[in-house]
Amino acid sequence: MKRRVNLVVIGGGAAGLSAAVTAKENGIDSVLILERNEELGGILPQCIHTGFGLHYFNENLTGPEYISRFVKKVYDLGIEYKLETMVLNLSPKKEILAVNQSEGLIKLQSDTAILAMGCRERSSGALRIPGERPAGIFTAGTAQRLMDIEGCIPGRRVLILGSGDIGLIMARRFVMEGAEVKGVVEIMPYPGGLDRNLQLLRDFDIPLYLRYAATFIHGRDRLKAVTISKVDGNGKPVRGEDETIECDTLILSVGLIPENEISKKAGVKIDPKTGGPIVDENMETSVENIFACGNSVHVHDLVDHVTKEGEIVGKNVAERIMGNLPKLRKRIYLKAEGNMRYVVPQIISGERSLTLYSRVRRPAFDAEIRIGRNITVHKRVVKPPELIPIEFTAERLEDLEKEEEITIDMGE
Amino acid sequence: MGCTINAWLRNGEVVKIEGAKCGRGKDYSIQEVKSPVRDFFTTVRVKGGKIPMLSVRSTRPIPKNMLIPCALELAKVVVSAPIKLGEPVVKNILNLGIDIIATKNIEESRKSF
Repeated sequence: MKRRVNLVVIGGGAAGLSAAVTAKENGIDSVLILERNEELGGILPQCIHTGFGLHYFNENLTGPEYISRFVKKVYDLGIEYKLETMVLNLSPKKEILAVNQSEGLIKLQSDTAILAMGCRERSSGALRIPGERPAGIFTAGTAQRLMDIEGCIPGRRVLILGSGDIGLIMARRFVMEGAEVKGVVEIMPYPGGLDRNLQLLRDFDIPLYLRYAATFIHGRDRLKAVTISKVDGNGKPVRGEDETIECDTLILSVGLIPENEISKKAGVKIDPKTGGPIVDENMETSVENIFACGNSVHVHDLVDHVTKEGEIVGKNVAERIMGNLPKLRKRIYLKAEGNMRYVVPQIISGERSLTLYSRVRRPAFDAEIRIGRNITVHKRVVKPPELIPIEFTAERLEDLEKEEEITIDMGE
Repeated sequence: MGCTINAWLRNGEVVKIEGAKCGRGKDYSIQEVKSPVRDFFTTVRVKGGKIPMLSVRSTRPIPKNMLIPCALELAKVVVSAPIKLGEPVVKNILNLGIDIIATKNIEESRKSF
């Protein structure tokens, strides 16, 4: 016998919790959150640093503090959730097959589903660094979990590969735990993290190697050293310009990938540019009544934005269940070109004002974003680590040509 | 996000600030050049908890040069579960007039060690 529910939320992190809470607050009774981990909260319980909630709560919170407010809402509203529960399959008809230790196989039939699985770290296998394969190579998130949840330090002499936010935050964390951080290595000519996180390299005198790549791993059983090489404009190592840095630990902070195995099983179309589902302005995927939010749609830089997106989805799903939110009547496809790497949502109706979120490939100053033929949006500065909001106001929509596909472009 | 600010100092006093787009930026730059402070957070060990580490933070930012001394001080601390979010872990750490508080709840472990 399949149990029937109105809404299943897959993933109990920032996106899933805010979507579930908002759906419940908007009158949906049977909401069920399925979470793989042993606690709710996703990645935030291990992000012990501050900087969360500055936009959403106008307060400077740590990750555990931020997410505890949503976990409390889940408890207070009596929303049902299952922990240590792995979703094995989601069908286009919203049949769900999940498994956990106490109940075994769980079969559900839901009216709607929200994909909120978050993202996963790119691992060492994806980098193909020549050399040996010793112990001592960790992704930043794994190191964070080991240190701040499980209570063991992965190593004492640390090199960080990738200057994204998580890498920079872990550099500081290692210093605070008494480890020696040898440097942060970045292949691009500019750092990958937010400006506010670069400050901490200066605070702790950690060298930043820009335009460098890891080119050899040394060490048989445990990591002994990593060779890094200067790269040219094409990212190719320059002969003779290398350095071997002794270390017992290599931390990888080399990108996040939206997690969408379940989405694909449900037949949801994926945007190769974001790695997440193609969504319309309601955040509905290509499969009717399956919505998506958070880092499984595209990698956000601030959790505050993830929470907001979850709320929009929670509200939309509630409206849909009550029969007040029809599928989009008109569909205009947005196509990112030039320096614009991607834009979300990818499909709009052109009938309602909304905020688009986009990301650029390279930094630019005094940038002009052209939307179709008639609209130009000016941005003082755009950088790859920062999501760029594009306000689609009623006036701008008036200027939008009525075509099936609109290009969003920024010159090279 | 944020703005790039230049500040000019004469005899340790800020004489000119350029680039700040709001009052907060101005206040921050003065603080930053005169006596920089940072948010402080780390973990302390837990006895009898569901997880072995408790995340903690300072109630206010602390002087930058006190980050490591505070971390070393907290390395000595072991707390016992259960712990409630917001509960003080160390009061008036190193006489800075700042408390260290828990940033999560930790339940007691059902297993006995």
